[in-house]
Amino acid sequence: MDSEQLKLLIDKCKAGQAGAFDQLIALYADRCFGFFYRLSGHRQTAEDLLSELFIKLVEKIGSWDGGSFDNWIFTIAGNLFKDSLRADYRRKRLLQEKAEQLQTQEESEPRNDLEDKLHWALKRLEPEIAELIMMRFYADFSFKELAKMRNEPIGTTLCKMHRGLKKLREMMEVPEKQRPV
Amino acid sequence: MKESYEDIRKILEQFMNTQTAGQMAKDIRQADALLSAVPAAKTSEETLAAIREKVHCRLAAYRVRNLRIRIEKYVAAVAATILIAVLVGVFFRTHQPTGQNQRPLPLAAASLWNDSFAADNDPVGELTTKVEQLTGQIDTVNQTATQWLEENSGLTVEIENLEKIALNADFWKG
Repeated sequence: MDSEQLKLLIDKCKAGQAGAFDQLIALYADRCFGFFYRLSGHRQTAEDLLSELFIKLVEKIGSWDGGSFDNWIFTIAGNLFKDSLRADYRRKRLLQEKAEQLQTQEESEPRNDLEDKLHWALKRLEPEIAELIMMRFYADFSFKELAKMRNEPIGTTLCKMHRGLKKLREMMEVPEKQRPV
Repeated sequence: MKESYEDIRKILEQFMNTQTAGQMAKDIRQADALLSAVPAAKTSEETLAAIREKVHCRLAAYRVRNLRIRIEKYVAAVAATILIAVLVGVFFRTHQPTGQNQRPLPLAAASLWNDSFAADNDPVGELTTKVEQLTGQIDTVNQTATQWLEENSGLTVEIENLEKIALNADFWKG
């Protein structure tokens, strides 16, 4: 879908057309789900966040004033993920037992080896760096856009990204038996 | 849109030497390749259907909310207009110059134009009687006063004579 068609679709969404929202969901669901899933490492959390994102979109779509819609939607997604992290931290502190149970469920999910490695490595990165990598990978953000969004010099963003990606690659190269728990 | 690795290398060269920048660009490319090698899980059709349903519900609620807000705004605007109109009316009533807000009364009482003679004649008759009584009393007083003056006319002459004597005697000159 080119930018003109996308703009037309968003205009229909702004007018409150349910069918247009369905199209938008079909267009972005997989990428956004991938973004949430990679960051959270948990399917249920990713699905919840995805649902929350599209519900939020109903109210926020009117505030989109042109520019890259991808950037806009993934900025909202990033903020939602940060909010969920905070909520998750609080929840984990209050309901430690429940969190452990969730973790057990999560670990029991069937995954291929590489995906398992990626989840394990992403969880060990700083949340800020992991989000940065995912933003670039799923939302197709350029370094310039990332730097602007994070309100920092492009050199800083590039260095953070490089450090994060290098660490990710190093961790993924560690054999499974040598991984610290 | 993501930059090409060549662009990334060029950006990095602004901050570090060519060799380091090249190495960093290479690291980024390799990590990207690694991420691409692990395709992200996809949402299930059930999840998407549930999301669509939730979005439709929210959309309906949002429409209702918008409508309610629009009605509230309309009602508020109408109420404000009425209030302003009332206040303006009150302002002009209270700030009019004195007299202008007094309603002119008819010059003659409406009862004067009444065709009923019986009703009209009663008060006039009473008034006439009272006027006649008063006239009689005044006449009586006049007659009494005249009579008293005629009887005591000598007293007046005596007083006048005493005044003349006093003036002629020049006692007042010292």
